[in-house]
Amino acid sequence: MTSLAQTRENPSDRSTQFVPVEGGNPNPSGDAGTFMVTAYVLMWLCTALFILHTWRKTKNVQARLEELQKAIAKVPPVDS
Amino acid sequence: MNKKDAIFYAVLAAFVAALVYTIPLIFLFTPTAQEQAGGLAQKIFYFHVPVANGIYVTGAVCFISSAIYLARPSEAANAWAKAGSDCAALFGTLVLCSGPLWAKKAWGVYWVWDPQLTTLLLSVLIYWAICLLRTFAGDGAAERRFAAALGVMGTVNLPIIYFSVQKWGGNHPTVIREGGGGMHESMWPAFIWGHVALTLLLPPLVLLLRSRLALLQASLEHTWHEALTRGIVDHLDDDFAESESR
Repeated sequence: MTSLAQTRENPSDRSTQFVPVEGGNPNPSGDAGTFMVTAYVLMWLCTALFILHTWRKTKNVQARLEELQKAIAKVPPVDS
Repeated sequence: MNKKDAIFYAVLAAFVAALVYTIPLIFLFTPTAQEQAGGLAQKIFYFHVPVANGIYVTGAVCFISSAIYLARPSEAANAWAKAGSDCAALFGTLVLCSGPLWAKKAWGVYWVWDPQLTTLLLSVLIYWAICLLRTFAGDGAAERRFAAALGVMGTVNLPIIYFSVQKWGGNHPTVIREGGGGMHESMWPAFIWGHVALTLLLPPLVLLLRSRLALLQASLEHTWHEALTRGIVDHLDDDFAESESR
């Protein structure tokens, strides 16, 4: 667990700038480009998977629904 | 093509157009920020903030629909509440994917227990809990009411996320909020277009998709029971109906 920022004067001072954190590595391995590309790839992958999964599931449900509705239409209603 | 489909395709077309315009704007025409802000990694900001605001849009839909469902239960309210929580979980996940990578470059660590990050994590966990509840606990009236109550509770936390950074400070910047240092004017177009694509257009797009799925699943369940009553299907097919209605 990493603690909060070292320089904590008051909320407005702390929240308007980037400040170092205790235990943080000022020169993390990997360049900024790698972090940026990874972030964008992850974001678009998650979004694309979500949309594709939803789209596919919708098609399956729709197909099953139509199949059942056709089957029901062929059978006369049951008298209660 | 019916009216709903026309709206969906219009939003989809607008989203694709906005995205095609925004991506080169961010990477080719927007300057890189200072090293202290993450340098090149700061460009995550142009998608990170809009998707974070997307949580407020989808969370609001979840809140309103859940509240309506609790007051007057209906298939439509349940479908939109379900869509809202699913989409809020998606947007929360996107923020939690992108933020730590930017933080690693800017702060040197992936995560700090900063008030804004912690309250966001709490909200995302609530939305994920709703998704898991709806997936694995069935779709009965009690489960729906419980999910709707969680949907209201999860969204009540959203304003706390927004104001936590001003109230309690922490590491998360407030560059464009009250008291913030602002951005260079050349960075505003990418920021605004990022919001058009990811806060104004992507949330309605995924909400329309998910609500349509939820309504179809409810319709499948009703039709299934009717088919079962008439002896068209038997209980052996229950597994299929169960899996498709989730």
